[in-house]
Amino acid sequence: MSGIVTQRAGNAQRRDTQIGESLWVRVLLILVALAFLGIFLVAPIATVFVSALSKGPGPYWDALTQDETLDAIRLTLLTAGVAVPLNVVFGIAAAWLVSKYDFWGKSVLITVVDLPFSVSPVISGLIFVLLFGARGWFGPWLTDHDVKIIFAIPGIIMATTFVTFPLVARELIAVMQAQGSDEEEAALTLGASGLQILWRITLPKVRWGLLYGVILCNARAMGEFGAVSVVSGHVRGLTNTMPLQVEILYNEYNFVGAFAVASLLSALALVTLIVKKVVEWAASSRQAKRDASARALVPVRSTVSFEGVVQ
Amino acid sequence: MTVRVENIVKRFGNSSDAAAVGNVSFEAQPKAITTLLGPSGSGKSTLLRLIGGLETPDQGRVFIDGKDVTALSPQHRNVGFVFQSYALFKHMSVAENIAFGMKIRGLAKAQVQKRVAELLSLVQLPEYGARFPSQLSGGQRQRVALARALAIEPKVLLLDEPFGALDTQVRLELREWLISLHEQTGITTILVTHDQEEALELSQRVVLLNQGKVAQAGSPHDLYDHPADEFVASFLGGANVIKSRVSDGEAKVGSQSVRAPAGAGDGTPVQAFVRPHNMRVRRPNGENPIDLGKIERLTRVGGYVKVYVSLPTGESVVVLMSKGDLDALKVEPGDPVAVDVVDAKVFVQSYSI
Repeated sequence: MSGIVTQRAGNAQRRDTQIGESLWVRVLLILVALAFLGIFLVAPIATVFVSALSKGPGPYWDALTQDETLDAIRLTLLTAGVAVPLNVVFGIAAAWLVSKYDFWGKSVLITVVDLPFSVSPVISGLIFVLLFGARGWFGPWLTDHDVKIIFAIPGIIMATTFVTFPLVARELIAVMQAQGSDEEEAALTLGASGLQILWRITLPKVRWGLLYGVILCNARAMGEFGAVSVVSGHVRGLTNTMPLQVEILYNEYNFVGAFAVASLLSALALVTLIVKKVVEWAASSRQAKRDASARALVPVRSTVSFEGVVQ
Repeated sequence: MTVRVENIVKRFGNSSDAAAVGNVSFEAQPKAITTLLGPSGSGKSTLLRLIGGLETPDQGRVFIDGKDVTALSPQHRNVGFVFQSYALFKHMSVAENIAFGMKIRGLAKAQVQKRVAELLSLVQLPEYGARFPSQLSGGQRQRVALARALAIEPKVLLLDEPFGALDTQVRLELREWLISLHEQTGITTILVTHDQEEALELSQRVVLLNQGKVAQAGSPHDLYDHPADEFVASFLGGANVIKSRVSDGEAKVGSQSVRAPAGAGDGTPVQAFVRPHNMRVRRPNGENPIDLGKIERLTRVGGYVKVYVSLPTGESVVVLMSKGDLDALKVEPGDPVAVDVVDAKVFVQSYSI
């Protein structure tokens, strides 16, 4: 989850070392690695696209624009659209609490934040069925008031939010703890309120970490299968998200349809990886640029008008 | 603006732990620089944070300009706080950093710009407004931090080891600069430092802290010339410690007899603190060789020489002499010498270390 941090450390440690292995050992190792990558990564992803397009672009497009599939895409976007902002708010609040204050039970809170990762997604879904299902704790009350959560959209959004909760919070906790609270204290003595400090100091400081967390959270929210499968009820056109739609179509031997939806999810994964790389690169090159210009610093006489500087 | 601290107590962790600040009272005079001086762990930084409102005291009160601010958040105390780590906003330019407090207060844009330009020239960085903190040297960053703190026209300026992270050369320059800045602004300033030289040079008043309590407060000269106890004497200026016993109301320290503290009876063990420059080395003058010391080492420091002498009692002392005086003696390491004590302070030996 601290991908940006490890990435930078990795770059710093990279050196040209001469490892004294003979040529054929090196070739063999490279071939083994490539074969492994090919079998377990490239081939499956390629299969998805090949199968989806096996009957040409026409049927592929038809499969994607089928009503039920479009409904699944819409529901997936809605779910991510609610779950990700919720987790951004919760994540910032949790990270702020953990990194700025000392309180009793802090380590418990950090462990609880990680809980959704250590629980099987199916169990995560089951928790919500046990709470809000017809025979669940709040079931009778919900039925009396005609509120449907399980086998309906609210349940899907809740299960997705639960499963993706740690992604933003963990990333921000790491970044905020590393940065400390000096700047926040300085802002406080300068008269800033808590909200002003959050908005003008803390969020700009952690913006790259936050963006990274959002990207990962979004990818997981769109791709979640286990937890959503338990609470969804698989009602076609109503409670099917894209991963569930893939399963249904596949079970009906509609391979082009199944792989067409799967290809969308795969494309989402690839785009996520690319955006993630760009964010990492932007964050580290920005830092490198600052460092470089700091090194090159000599008291340069430059005339700066304050017009453009103070907004 | 006067800053007054009354019976402040602050503990971290368990109530059974020793207090970080234990019942401290002092007053910082308006328009003066007051230094909170002490070794690390003496509670000086905590005390400063308590005045700034960044910590809440367990007991006691803080008054700024006669007003009780103990319950007031730092947001409303209107104090300028400068951190050892600078704590500049890294994502803002120098000008934006300085403008921050004024923008929070809702000052008009033109007024903010004018004031930023004034402050930049006050801290002698008039052309650095567009730079980012990472493009500045440590000394420049600390000057920007000072400008940012001054921008809100604070009642009091609180400096927490402001030069602690800088190298000696820059530290000395900034010290001079701070004195002239203070002359220009005349703002009541409280400065935390562990560097006694900084305290003696910068401030009109020194509050020396030890283990969360005030060891002595007064003018730098007071503390240096009339230390209240052995801690003050040894912490300020460095001193040779010579053990002795009281006889007839006096303690013999080397060749000198010094009046013993009142109430110290005959035979009471005492410690004499002698500043290195209050001792003289001379060639033996027919003394019993048993009373003589031996030169261990000579170290030259600028125009002075530090003479390390081992005394017949087994103690060793440092004597500071001008190079000319020492050259006239024509002594070498290993030579026997007599040591005269010009001035000494005698304290009854305490058993708390």
